[in-house]
Amino acid sequence: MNNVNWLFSQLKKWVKDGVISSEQAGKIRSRYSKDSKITNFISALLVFGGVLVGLGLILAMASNWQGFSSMIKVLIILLFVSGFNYFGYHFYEIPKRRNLSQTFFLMGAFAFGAGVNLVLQAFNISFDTGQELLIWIAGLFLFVKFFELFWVLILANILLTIWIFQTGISWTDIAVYGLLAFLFLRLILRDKNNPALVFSLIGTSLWFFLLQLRMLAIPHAEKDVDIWLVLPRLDFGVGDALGFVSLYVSFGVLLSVLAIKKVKEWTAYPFSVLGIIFLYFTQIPFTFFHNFANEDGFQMPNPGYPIEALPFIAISAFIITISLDGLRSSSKRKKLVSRFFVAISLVNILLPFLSYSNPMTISVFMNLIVLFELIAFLYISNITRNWILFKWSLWLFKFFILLRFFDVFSTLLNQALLFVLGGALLIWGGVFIEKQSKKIFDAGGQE
Amino acid sequence: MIKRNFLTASFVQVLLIAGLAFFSNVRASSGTVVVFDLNPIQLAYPSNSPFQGWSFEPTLSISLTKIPNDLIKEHPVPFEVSDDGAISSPLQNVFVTITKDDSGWNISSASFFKPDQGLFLKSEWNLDPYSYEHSENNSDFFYVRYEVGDIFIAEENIGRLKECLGERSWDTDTSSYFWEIEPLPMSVEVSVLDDGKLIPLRLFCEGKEIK
Repeated sequence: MNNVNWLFSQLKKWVKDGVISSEQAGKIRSRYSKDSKITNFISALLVFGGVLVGLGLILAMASNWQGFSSMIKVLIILLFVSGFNYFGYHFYEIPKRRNLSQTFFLMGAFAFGAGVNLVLQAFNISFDTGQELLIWIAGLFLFVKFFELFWVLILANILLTIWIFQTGISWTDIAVYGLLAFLFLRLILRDKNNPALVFSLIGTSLWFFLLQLRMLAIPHAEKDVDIWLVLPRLDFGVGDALGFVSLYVSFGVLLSVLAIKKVKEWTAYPFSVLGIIFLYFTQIPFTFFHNFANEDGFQMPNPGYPIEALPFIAISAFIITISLDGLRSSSKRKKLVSRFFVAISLVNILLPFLSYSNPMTISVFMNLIVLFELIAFLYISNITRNWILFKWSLWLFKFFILLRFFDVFSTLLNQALLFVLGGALLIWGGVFIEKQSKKIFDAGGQE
Repeated sequence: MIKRNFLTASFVQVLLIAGLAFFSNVRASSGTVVVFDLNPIQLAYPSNSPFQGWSFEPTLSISLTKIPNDLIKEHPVPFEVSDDGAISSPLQNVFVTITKDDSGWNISSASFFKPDQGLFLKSEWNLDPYSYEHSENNSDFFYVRYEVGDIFIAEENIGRLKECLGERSWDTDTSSYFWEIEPLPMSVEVSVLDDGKLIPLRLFCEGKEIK
């Protein structure tokens, strides 16, 4: 008996025993039925087909066919865009054909992008900072708003992420991205579009990077607008690097708070995973900083400028504000969780001050902070029953132990012994943690 | 309601595409159309992007990029150098006024300020350390760079463009470049706008258009 058959047989029993209602059993059955699988398969085929047609159109436009005049080319592309969108609209009105509707709207979205690029090509217009992507995104917005287009919303967020990656990093670009990302985030939350949310968060993290660069450039940029001309003059110091770390830690903490608070249930997974990744991987390079302590000629560069602290102080202040109600709560768990997030935010604000000390002190502090955060995240995710966060914290904890092992013993042992011991440690650690986490998961399941 | 939403969203898309085409056309046709010779040594070769295909940014001939000092109206060192040697204004606009005679288009004057009359091109003086030293050493000339913009080329014509551009190689014995395949004479048709900016229209090789 396969899993689905077993589940179906159990459903009957659960309804009979009064564990679940027959309506709930029906919902579960429809979720795992063959019909549902076939529908998903057809949806995947349709979307894949739509993407292929769209990419084909873009490639066809990019080859720059020379047989027609510019105006004829524009008319042809308008015909394609309107045609695909019309079929999308036509099938949207037939509830059973919504999948087909999504596919046609997706092809319309690609055709529109191809059209924008074709016009630029026909009139030899070249934008320096990818404004053609902005025009493409702007054209998709109303369709996504009115028709809840799952795939087009993902495409729009991918384009927005590409655009912020290649932008000229002016204050205008930063403001435009902020506005567009906010508008699309509202649609993502409305449509519960998880993949689009992931792209949106990745784009936002890039946006934070550029924002921080802009903040660093302020004292140098009285006369220059183009940041690429200012960047070579920036004297990147440990303080500046720690400023970036603080920014990403605050972003990671914010996502983790939102995941634990379960502001939106369906967002818990991307918020938990990306939150812990941003928090952890930006701090880890500094846990090796002691290796610079004895290097000849290593000099601690100047601490950063205070103005660069504004973005991460703002985010940390926001985290502290939303944690205040937890501090006043009568629940011990809520109080503990809120205290942790307030503490981590305060430590994070003070992090760039480490740049006034020597590499060894920075390394020791960063190791202690990372260790504290990982253990605290393991504990908090356990008591709040956020198993995704727990699992990822556990993996990162194992990884951290392994990194420390190789870092500490690489100078003391010969390579063969180092790897044998490392492997043995991993096997023993893996078995031990497996047992412990099983106990915790079982306890969680019983509750 | 759904129909109205669909029509609104479609109208916005059509407006964006048609508007982009219309304004690009109007802008390009508002300028003075001029044909300039190209420098056989191009700064950039054709590049390919996934969305827009092949493009090429032409470099204008040295008769327009090398400006004798006596033609500039102001003192040619209007930038500041800090203690660490950094130049605080690395790009400086130079407006180059041109006139046509029997030999073609030539520079009649240059200025850091936009001229009131005549046909002029907006260029940038790239103040790299070398050109700065030229100026410091009272060199007789300085170089400018024009932002002509990209010309998009059909895929089937890229081979022809590469033929026209020729091929250079490095000679280790003489420590200099030499032409393995000689370049062919090329020119570009541009629209010169009122503010001196250039919009490329057509590219020619041996007098024939490369589309």
